[in-house]
Amino acid sequence: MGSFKIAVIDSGIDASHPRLLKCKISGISFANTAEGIIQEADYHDAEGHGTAIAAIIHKMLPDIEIVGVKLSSQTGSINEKLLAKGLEWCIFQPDIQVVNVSLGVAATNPYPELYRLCNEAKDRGVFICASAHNMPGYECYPAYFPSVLGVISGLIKNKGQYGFVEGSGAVNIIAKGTTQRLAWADKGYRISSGNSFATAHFSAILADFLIRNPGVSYAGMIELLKDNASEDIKEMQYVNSSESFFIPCEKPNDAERDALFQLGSHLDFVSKIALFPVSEKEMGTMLAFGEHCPFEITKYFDYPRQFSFKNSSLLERQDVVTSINEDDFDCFDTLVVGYFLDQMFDANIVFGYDIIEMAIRKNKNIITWDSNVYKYIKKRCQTEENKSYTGKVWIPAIDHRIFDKVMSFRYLPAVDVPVIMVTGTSNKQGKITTQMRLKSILGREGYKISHLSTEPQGALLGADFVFPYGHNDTVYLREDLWGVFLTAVTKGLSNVNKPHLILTGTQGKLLPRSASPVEVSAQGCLSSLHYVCGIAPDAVVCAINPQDTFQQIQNVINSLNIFSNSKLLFFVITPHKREFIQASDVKTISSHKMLSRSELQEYMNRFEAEFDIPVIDIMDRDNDSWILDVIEKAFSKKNV
Amino acid sequence: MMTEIENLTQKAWSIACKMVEWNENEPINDSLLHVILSESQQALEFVCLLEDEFDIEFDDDDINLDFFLSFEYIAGKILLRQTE
Repeated sequence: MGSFKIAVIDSGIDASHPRLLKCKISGISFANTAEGIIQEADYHDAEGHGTAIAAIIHKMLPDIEIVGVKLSSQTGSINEKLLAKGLEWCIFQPDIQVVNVSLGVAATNPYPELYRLCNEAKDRGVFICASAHNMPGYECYPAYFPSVLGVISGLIKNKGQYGFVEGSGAVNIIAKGTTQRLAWADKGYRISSGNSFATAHFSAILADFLIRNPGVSYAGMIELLKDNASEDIKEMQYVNSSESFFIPCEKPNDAERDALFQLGSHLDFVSKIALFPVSEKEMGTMLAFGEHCPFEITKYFDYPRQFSFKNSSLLERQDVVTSINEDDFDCFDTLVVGYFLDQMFDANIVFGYDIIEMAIRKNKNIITWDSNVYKYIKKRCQTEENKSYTGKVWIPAIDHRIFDKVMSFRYLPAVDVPVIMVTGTSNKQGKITTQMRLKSILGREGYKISHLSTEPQGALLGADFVFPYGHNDTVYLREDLWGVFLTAVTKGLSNVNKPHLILTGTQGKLLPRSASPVEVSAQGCLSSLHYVCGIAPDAVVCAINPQDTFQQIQNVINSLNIFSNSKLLFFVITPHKREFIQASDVKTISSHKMLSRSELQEYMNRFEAEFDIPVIDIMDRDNDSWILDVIEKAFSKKNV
Repeated sequence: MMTEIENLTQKAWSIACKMVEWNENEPINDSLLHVILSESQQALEFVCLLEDEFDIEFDDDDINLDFFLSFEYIAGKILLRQTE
């Protein structure tokens, strides 16, 4: 193969690994130190990642020379400057024609020097194959540069195959990156998956093309890659965050203004629905409170592989379908899809893809609450094979166009009906369950409730408006605008629906459970505080856990006083107590223990004695009349 | 009379069960493979145990998504390596 070389910019290469003993390897190292970037000769890999990349390439092209370009840093993280240095070295080596970069820097404003070097590489006929971020939607460089072949992982049986993504997007190539055994550090192995390994496979494929087509230009090679790509290769992720999916921005007429706060009017295309995956928490609410769903649920799909299959009560349901049969799609018009892309098992993600594919083929409408799933569906609908699809694809979301329309309500008088908010000391406490129970209890007495849901599935449970912040949220609105926006939303709900009461709830916890700044920003606590300020509830129902400390609960009470000055009506307590089990010296497993009735009562008594505020089990129907009485008394002056 | 594939499938199931302390007398359940795959190190250990037990060496390309989908698929790969 003459002097053709592939450079691997990574953690170095362990040339003594058994998988690489017959591989011709050379290398260099660039280290980020306090004195600046230092060039060294030792490129040994102590981490394993670079060795895995080299071994994949060597297996596909045993005779090719691999040049390891090790990047290391005393701080432990690789920055764009260091990456640029390694890249610069590669593109000025005479025999390196392919540079594998199975890493990247997530940034919205990439380093200009890195951009310039990637362009220079292209001008010199050097191909850079770089991994896109493993998390969909993250901009990652150099993969995102137009002069770089961005690679993601796909479902590929034959590792010599690849897919070519047409268009101007950041991702150009889909290659094999699914579960595989990899050479790793210390002459060991690892089983893993990801875009890094897809990139390595593609670098070898590209090198093979270049060897077999000497002298071909950069543009000519791109054409060759297109011509030889396999069709219908499914990706395991996609990166396309620029798509917008909303009605055009214009002043709303009266009908549109009303429709803003009557969510059901957006779903007039739905009659019978199927749910996937029913084991998901959000779907569980749909099952538990199906009476609030204006649509008939006629089919339940779930993953074929369940991690916690030992005790999943859902598996005992006779009507849960875990395989795909065309006939199963005849009994509904709309498929509701949850967060299946969050699955840790490739097989379950693939199952999700197949369900969507069948739904499109059978021309079903699709509703999802995951923006990543939404983008995937839209993309599949645009393919040649699905061009006859005429179904509707819908996602509950808030963007600046909704903002503009809702803000036309901001000049209305202040809301004059009570607003009750359900909040809590942590996540997974049944806050949406509490809201649905309150809605049922008050609804049975003839009260008209306008539900403002922060859970995306609220759209299918009769909510009048959905503000889906939280996990994989679809609220594309700066948090500093939430206050004015949510104030206008409550005015709109009151003005359009004329309810007796507005009911809503926060997502997750209201305050961090420790003083970690990372937890504050990562767990959405600040979002919930913005939400509380925007809604300004008159009264609050607070969910607590058996394991909560008095101080944690007191902190939430204090915060509610500070941010909303609202009345705390009562606590609801979850019967699940979180426990931590030391599984090994380094691993701790958390589990939820279901408390017995007497155990739960003990906790209820304890909290009630401490705070002098009633603590109830919201699922206990014996409490219904008491709950009604508390709410009626709380707002008796407002003539609820 | 068990076929060779059935026999190998049963043995692979037994190895998996011992590894995660699952009752091997229960019917073969492919979901156990996903429990194993949930931890990279555990998955690797399982593959190594199979290689030791059957005195074979899988090609790295054998260890793919399909490998962790069914015990029967694993049995097929073992048989293939044994007959090479």
